[in-house]
Amino acid sequence: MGISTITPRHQRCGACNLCVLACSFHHEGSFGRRNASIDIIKDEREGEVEIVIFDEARDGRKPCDGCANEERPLCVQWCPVGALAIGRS
Amino acid sequence: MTQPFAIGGNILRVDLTKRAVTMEPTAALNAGFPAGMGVNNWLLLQETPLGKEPLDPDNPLIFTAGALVGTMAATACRMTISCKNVMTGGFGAASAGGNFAPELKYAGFDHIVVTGRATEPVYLDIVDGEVSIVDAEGLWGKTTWETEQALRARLDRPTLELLSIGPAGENMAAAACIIVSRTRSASRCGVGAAMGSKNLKAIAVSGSGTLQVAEPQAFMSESLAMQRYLMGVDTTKNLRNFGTGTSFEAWNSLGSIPVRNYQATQMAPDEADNIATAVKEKKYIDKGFGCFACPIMCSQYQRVKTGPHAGTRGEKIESQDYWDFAAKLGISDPAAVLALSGLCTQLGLDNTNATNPIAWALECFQRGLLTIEDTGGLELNWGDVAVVSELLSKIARREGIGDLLADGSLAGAKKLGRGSEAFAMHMKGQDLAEEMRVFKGWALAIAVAERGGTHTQGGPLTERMPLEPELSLERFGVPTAFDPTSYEHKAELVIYYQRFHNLLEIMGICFYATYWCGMQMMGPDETARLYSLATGEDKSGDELMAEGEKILYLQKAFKMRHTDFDRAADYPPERFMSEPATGPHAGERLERPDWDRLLDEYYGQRGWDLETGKPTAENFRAVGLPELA
Ligand code: SF4
Ligand code: SF4
Ligand code: SF4
Repeated sequence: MGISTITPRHQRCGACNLCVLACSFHHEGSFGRRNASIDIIKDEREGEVEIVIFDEARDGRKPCDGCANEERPLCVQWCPVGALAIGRS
Repeated sequence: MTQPFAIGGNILRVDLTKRAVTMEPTAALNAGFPAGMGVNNWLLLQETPLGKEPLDPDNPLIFTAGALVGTMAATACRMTISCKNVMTGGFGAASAGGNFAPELKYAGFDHIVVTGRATEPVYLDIVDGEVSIVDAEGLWGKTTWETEQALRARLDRPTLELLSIGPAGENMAAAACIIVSRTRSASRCGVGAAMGSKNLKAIAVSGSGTLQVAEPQAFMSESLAMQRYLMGVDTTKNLRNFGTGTSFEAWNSLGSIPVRNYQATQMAPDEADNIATAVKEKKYIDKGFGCFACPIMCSQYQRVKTGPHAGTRGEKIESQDYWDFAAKLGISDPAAVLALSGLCTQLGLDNTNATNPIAWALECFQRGLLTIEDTGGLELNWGDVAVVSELLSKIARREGIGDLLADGSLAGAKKLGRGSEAFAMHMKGQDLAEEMRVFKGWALAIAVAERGGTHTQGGPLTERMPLEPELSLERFGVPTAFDPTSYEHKAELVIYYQRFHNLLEIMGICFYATYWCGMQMMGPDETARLYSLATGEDKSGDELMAEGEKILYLQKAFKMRHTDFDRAADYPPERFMSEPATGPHAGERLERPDWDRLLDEYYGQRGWDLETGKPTAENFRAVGLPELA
């Protein structure tokens, strides 16, 4: 238990949005994109992804609270390719 | 079957003639019907007027997000798009992954029913409950990629998902598809032409809502366990690493690909090796991407850095691209296949329904049935990348010879005559995607598919899996699921997969995550557990398979209402009966007496009329559709 900082590894990310859904679930117990503290911005043309983690509230999003109440941050648990790491890079 | 949880909540109705937008709760229709594709197919059946041409504005075009889409169930991302089939006049549907369907549910909708025709080109803009019909001036004539880019620049929102048609859809080529999330294609049945016939260029959606599930914690644990399990299975690893491309080599070595318009079934080793090696060595693959909520990530982003196709880049090259361009048309340069597939995506062309008529034209040219006078000066030779590229553009724009090919090989052959019908490889008027001679269950599924000529309604991949008869009995109740060329019990096997495929379309789960691709992947029971926890409706795998069966009857009813297809329409093209396969199964073909018996078994299993191949009133009652009896 404890507050984690999440470090994104953009190059690994396959843009599946599972972390976004996990985060949405963490905050509200339901599934959506706009209440999550993560946004996955995919550039289909270049085949690149940017993982944005919000540390302050914006556009109705909640800031990342490091999943203080969870055993492990949900986004990290759910990422199928290890694109989210705990701790600062 | 009602679905109180995990739904967007509403059906959006858009009448483009009246420019009217209305909404109604999904729940009103969910009662008594399988959700997702079930409601979709019911609406299509009820609301398609009788006696109209497929591209008549009065016909509905229906977009549907699957029942589990938007949740964390692995790969639940898919959308079904249905309409009166532009190629067959019967039931039509296409499916796509990507991110659009979940976003539609977050915006509060499970279905969009579009009718009518706008006087000028428009696009639909959905922002939660706010729906606008917007002038598409400046977008018409643009490729799908240009359209996507222009809309992204215009609509600046925190989340935005798009689907669009390209020039092919605008010109109502039957080979037109709908491109979703820039990289995914909803193909077959001419859904892109149906969208074009409505003067509808694109749909944009942004949703800020969330979906509730019935048992949140249990659903999360089950979904995570499923994800972790799937990640450990070899089928997943293979898809993640290479995409579906590796099956090109496997299928070619089995001698079951459609070489040069199905004149042979195995490519020459040197030609095939070019492609197989590029796939195996990941020559062009950068990395794999996933559709929404997909941990498998089969969608390879590929980039060609050198040679004549340098600069080609894009996602989602499938084994089907290799059958379409390499096998059917004789193009053995893998970089050229990537380039041509990308061109199809931009033009909004369904690779299969575009390449099959081209293959027909190439064979007609080979045989002297089409001449340089007919083609406007083009020499139609096998393997000529520049000519194929030009033909694709001409089809999309209905220019010159392109107009002859734009409605499919059968329509082209009817116009051309000269005995060219013998080389039009289609089922019920829809162009074929693949070879049928070797694998008998596969052939049956394609021949009887309600959509016409597709393996995604019952095609058993098991016939290509080297597995034991015991497992076959355990899973399917028949001993021959893994036997490639046997006819025995293939009717039962196809019926199993017809139900299963429909079940997956109800859910919006990707076929690749399931029994379809590998015996270790998800089956009906695993799907049912996720469905039950998400919706709070306790369903077993068998009960969901029964829902899959019910949907088949909706599709059947549609076909019976709008076409006169009967038993005769379930016979494969003559070529598969008279010209044998090449390669390891050399000599293999579909013998008429065997086919007669196979159809008897297939209809007989369900108690359908053997003469007509149609269900009886009693059959409709038995599956819970007395109103259609
Ligand atoms: S650590 Fe928790 S709150 Fe922060 S982004 Fe991950 S799931 Fe969301
Ligand atoms: S779960 Fe991982 S791979 Fe998927 S979008 Fe999030 S960071 Fe990327
Ligand atoms: S397996 Fe491939 S096609 Fe299926 S959902 Fe995942 S990325 Fe999409």
